[in-house]
Amino acid sequence: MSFQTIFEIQQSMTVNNRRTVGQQVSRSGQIRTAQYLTSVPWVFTITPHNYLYYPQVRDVIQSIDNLDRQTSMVITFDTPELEWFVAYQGGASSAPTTMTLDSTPAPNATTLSITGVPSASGDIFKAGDFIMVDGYTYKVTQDVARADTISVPIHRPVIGSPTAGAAVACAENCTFNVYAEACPTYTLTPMTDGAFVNWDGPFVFRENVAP
Amino acid sequence: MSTTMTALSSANINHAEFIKMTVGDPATYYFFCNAASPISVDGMTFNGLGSLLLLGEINREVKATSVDLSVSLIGIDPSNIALLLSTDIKGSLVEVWRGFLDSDNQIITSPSQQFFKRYTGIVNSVAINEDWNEQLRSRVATCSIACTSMRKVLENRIAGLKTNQASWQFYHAGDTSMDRVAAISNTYFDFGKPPTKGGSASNPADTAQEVVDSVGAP
Repeated sequence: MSFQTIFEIQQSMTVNNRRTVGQQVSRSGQIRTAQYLTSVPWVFTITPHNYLYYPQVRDVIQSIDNLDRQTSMVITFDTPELEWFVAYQGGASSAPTTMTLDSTPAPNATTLSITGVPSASGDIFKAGDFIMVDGYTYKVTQDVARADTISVPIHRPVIGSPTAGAAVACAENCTFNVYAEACPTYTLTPMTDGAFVNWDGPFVFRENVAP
Repeated sequence: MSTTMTALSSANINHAEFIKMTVGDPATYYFFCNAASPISVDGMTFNGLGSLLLLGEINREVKATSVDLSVSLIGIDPSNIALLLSTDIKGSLVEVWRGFLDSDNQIITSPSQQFFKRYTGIVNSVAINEDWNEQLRSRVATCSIACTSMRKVLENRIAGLKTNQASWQFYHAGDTSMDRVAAISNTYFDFGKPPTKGGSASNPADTAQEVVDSVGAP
């Protein structure tokens, strides 16, 4: 479980999916912006719960030690503790599982053409819904009305080279392949028959973008 | 001739940097870019997406300047290490472009392609830098490539044709124009006075005939 457990027993989670943008404000107060094209990787900063009972979490600690900052792990939000983060908001009866790419997107495109759309009342996607293509998860930036083939705007450039027919996962079926950019050590405070675990800082997880 | 960058007319621009290295003979090409997916432009596909760490400052001035440029690459990638250790790396051609993108992250092509060369130079030096942090238990290796602009290359280049017999005939075989240079090389010509040898005009009357004899009378 390891990193997955840290996500599930978090005290708080900071989500960073900001683009790389430069800003300048002139003396007349007018702002100009320039975006530097990047992959916009997901970065999660997880503040773990302190006072975990050491005898109960030794396996978790060991699995974290095994991964350390060296090995990536796929995180799913399809758990009772986390499903609120990626919950489907659209009009289908459940998160769509039949959708595929209708055409091969242009490199770095921010719009996907998707087919195999199930029936739905109203919008098939609401802004903020999650979709995953080729192992990379994107957020839908605008409501998308239901149609046989839909054009879905996403929050960052499409990563890699997905082709027409690639499966499109939605909502709780989306995953995040992450490295621990910061993997805190821990301090043990002895108590009866064991010790409390105090993490020395937050975990920082960065998406593994490796096309 | 000035270049109009129409992409800059927007208050919100979207851009990317592109680097091409040409190494060795026959040439091996390396392409680096900061985009999320490979970008093809002008017949080149920039796909080194996981390598580029840093592109140094490029100074643009009205007057021609000869500034250096540094390119930093991730040292974990074995292809980057191989690039630095290749015997032909020094002197390799480095070209840098900036491309402006539309709202769907495609190179703008209308009214003209917004893809502009910013720098041309050659690799002057390479280095592998290590950042060791015992406290954090981290060790990061970075491959750095120092580039020298073509202008500085030209500044340091010694070129030309010496006005002596050997050099002249190396380029122009059979041309005897410089054959007498050695004979008159130490002759002092003080115009309006008779020529002298040895750079001195102390006794012009004595030396005048010597020089005439040496050069050859008309």
